[in-house]
Amino acid sequence: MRVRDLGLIEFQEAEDFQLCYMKGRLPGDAGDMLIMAEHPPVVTLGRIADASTVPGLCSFEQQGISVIKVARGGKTTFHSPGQLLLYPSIDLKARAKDISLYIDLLEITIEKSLRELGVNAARISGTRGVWVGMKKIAFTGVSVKRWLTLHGAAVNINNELDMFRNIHPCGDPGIKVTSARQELGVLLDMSIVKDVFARRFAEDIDIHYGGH
Amino acid sequence: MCNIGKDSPFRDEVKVSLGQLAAEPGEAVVTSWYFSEGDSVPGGADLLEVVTDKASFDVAAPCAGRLTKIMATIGTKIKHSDVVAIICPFQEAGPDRGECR
Repeated sequence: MRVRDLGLIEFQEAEDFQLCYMKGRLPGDAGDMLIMAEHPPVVTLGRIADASTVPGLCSFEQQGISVIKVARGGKTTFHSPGQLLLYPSIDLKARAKDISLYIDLLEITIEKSLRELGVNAARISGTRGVWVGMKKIAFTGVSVKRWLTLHGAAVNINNELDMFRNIHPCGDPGIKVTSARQELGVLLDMSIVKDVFARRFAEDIDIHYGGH
Repeated sequence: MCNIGKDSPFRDEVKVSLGQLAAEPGEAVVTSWYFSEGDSVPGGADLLEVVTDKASFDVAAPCAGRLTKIMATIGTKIKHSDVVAIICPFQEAGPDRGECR
């Protein structure tokens, strides 16, 4: 499993990188890669999200924060520095043609990584995402083209949470959010965080989603 | 629907559904069609895009043929067993005219 950390990068540049990488892949190659990134502030809306999920649109406009539609599942979320984006490029044909299982894998990796970092994270039966108590700490939204994956998951690590008040996370006005920083009371070293997630993902994809 | 006669280039119709995909449970929404009724469709080409709660994905044509009927227009909520389209496969194999899978 290759790993590429794009660092702090605009959302659309990271999406372009994913698309270019996907188009360059050959059928059946072993080019699975975990792409990681952080983004400057931006609101992203999935394919079936509408403007009603961004009640604080004016707040974003006043601060010059873009609200953009994205070709992925999931609804609305907010990205900013300190939030870890996981964008795996995985050939599901070579493992299992099961998108639900793939999202399970993402959530399992996030849950285990956060626990390793000391955060009491858990999945909740019947819901998507990863939670700490009743607060959501990680969000999933994927796209699959020709069984190659795009987009993935966002995990709140050190990012500020105030701007989440201006959206309905995942389209649900009742969802409260948290971060690893808020749960632990300290800033985490993002390089250590990324190492943990990369190692866990490489292990979990073979355990939970079938090896090559 | 395929109007099969002895000289017809078509064989029996093929129903397209999401059942060929293992995907997120529950309903999906049709968000795009990449072909129109009457179009010739290569086998394996992306036919339509659907979105579930957490995933968007393309549904491929199971075989080459003519897209004779779209059963679920954009915005329609569908279950995995619903038929979303009818394809009349081309009789002859050849480039982009592979057998139905």
